[in-house]
Amino acid sequence: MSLDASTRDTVLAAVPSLRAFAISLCGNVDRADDLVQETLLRALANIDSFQPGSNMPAWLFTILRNLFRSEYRKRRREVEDADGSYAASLKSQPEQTSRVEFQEFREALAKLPPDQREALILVGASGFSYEEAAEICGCAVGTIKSRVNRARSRLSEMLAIEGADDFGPDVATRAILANTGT
Amino acid sequence: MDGHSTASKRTEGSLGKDVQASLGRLLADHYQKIVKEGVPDRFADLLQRYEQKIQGSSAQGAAEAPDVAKSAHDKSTHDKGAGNEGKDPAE
Repeated sequence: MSLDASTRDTVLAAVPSLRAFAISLCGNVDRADDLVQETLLRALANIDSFQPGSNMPAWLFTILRNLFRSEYRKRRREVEDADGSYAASLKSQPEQTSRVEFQEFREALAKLPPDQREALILVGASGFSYEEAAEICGCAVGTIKSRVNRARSRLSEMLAIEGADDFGPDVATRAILANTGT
Repeated sequence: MDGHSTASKRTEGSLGKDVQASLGRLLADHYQKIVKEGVPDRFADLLQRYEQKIQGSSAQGAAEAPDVAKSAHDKSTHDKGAGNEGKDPAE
């Protein structure tokens, strides 16, 4: 199968999500973009085996995930984002005033075990169903559900979240609001 | 938020729904911030070069994707091996 316009558009449309997934996995934009490129090259080289009408994003995510796992094993001893370039490139969302700052959340996410992080991102952000995520990760649906639950619990522990109030104004702001009677 | 205090308390192995929802919102913020960056030029260029290669070689009856792959690979700043894990998942 040649790369017709429809297939090309579908692949291109998946790139932003692939990057978001890759950056979430790698914690480094440059490595993530290289990973996306490797994914596209691998997909193009095997485009004949893609079944038209099936789930192209899931197929691409599977390739990316497998490439990452392969690279991860090679670089296991490396510290992710060792130079802090990724962290430095990200700024807190100006609209976010919660105690759990955006950067804090990203750092906690990066500390999750890879299998939990990928499950959480696939289901919680990429929009895949548990079944699709299980297929992408090559495991049982129950395993994905378990990983997502553990990831959420771990995040809440790392961020010391005990209730929804922790997502509201920070302690100092709450004190000010309380003192002013608002 | 008072009405959420009970619901947000963690029980054994579970999180309050409001906490889960808030974590989900943070995760979505994190993800969408990257998604909104769109498609970097390098990826659009990559596909365009692949298409040109396909069209250029179709008369010869063979697409030479590996050449495109090699060219793109050479541009990469990182040394990567080609592990078997990246094989076609449809296999």
